[in-house]
Amino acid sequence: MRAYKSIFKLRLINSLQYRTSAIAGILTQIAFGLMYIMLFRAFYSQGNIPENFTLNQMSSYIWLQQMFFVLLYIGEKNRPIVSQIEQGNISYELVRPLNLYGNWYFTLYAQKLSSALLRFFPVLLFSILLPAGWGLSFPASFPALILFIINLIVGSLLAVAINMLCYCLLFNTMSSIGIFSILNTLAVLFNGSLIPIPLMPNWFQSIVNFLPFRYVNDLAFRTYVNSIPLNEALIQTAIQFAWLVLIILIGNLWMKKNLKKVEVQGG
Amino acid sequence: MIECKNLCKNFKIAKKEKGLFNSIKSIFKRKYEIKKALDNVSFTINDGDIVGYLGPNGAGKSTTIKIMCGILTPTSGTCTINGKIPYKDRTKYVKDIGVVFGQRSQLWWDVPVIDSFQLLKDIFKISNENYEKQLKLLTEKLDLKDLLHIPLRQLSLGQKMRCELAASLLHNPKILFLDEPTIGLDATSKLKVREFIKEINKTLGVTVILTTHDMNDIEALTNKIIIIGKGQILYNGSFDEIKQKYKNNKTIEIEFEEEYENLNIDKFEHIKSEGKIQTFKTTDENFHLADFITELSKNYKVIDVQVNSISLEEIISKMFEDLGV
Repeated sequence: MRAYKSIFKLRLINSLQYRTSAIAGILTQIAFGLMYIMLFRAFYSQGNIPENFTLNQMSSYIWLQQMFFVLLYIGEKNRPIVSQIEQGNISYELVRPLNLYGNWYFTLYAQKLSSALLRFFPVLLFSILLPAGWGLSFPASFPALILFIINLIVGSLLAVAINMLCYCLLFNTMSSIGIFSILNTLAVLFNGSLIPIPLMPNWFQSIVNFLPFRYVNDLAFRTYVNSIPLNEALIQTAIQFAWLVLIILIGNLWMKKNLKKVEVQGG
Repeated sequence: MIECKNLCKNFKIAKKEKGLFNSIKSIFKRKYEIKKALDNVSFTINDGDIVGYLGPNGAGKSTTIKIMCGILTPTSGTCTINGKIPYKDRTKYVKDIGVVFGQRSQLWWDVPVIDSFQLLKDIFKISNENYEKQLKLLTEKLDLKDLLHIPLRQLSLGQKMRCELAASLLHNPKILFLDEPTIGLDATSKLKVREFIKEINKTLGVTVILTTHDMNDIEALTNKIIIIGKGQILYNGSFDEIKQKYKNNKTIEIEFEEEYENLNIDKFEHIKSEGKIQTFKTTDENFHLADFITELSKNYKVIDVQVNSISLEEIISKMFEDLGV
């Protein structure tokens, strides 16, 4: 475990130095947040507001989304890892007494966390200063806040686990073009990043509930704004855990299978 | 002890035919070709040896090394190293080995070298005491003191290779695999690397398996060599034996005062002529330079004579030729 901790630490320190990209990220997140809220306010002004998703809940939901955008993003392409697979540098990873899945999982997570740490606070500050209906409200209750934090952590772990499947698939396709963007498109569609899930038609919501994507972000945000009642949220947290375990398990088995067949040519 | 028995490794390669039509056809139906990278390769290597593993490009050297490192699984055959099967218990086995792939890097590109070392310390679970001891030893032997705090990307190729070697030995492995460790290095760096390899073999008793295209590496370091070509072992034995066998191959360059045509000298094969300079070859064991010149000057006006022994490079390429690679 110490090895994974060191990998995590070194990656974290290493990527914390990219300040300019963080500033750009913060500005983008704020711009997108405002845009989405204006857009949905336009719809809301026509009436037809869902019961469990008021104007205040909506604007909080959008800001949480922007705040934890990188942390919960699915479909990240980590250049070094991709090139290890494509170019064969994976040789070196395999002569370490480490589980390759674990090694890469912590690498990806560290990268996510470092970017998120740099971006999250300024967006938080900005959004709580906005008036109600535009900004971020306080959590519905103290238990809701606690559960939100749990959902957020498990959700981010789940995001990396889903992402890892892409790297497993990369062993078969050998080309990273497309895989990551397709996954991202699916994720954005099914996890409420494009349209918050409570605003989706009912038939679509039942599809979305069936897939793992919304447990990455939607669950945490809706616990926070109390769009899902606490007892219901607890059950969904259990489902979230189950998805996490299942997807990590699949990834591990897949990786093991890949490594049996791995071919490194040349050099 | 390293023991490889009847190792075979096949690669499946998608066959591409030229032309648009064939490209479209291959979307639906792929043709594959099986390439035998290794074909019944067997050898043993004893503890403490330095072994040179030679062969032309694409002969299967790296494939064998990668099987011995546990990266690739052989199609058939077995490989046992100190009682372990590399590709079966990879994570346990790799603690015993150090690896340097000359064309790749195991250190992190944008962090100081010492940080990468620290990470390796944790990855290999090296105790503080052993780490300090080994680091001190390696820093001294490889002259790393000034390099440790510089990010890898700012180091020269020679400096980088020294750091790579240190990285591969931090956990004090019993076996060291070096895949073209001197590739691209200048003469001084090559000498340093060679000296170091010799030394750790002697002082730490590390078994070294080395692939290279630089015959001077082989001459300076190894006594035992294994030659592979087209996936098969062609020679396995001492290096001196080969040298002995080809020792008598000499070329003689003679500069004449004027140009001659159709020169024929007994027991000598004419191989090259460049104006007034003519080159001959002999395999005669009883060749005496003095007699030869006397004989020659009777009929021709000789200005200069130069005798060249066949170089190692030529010996090996001659061997490849003789063995049909």
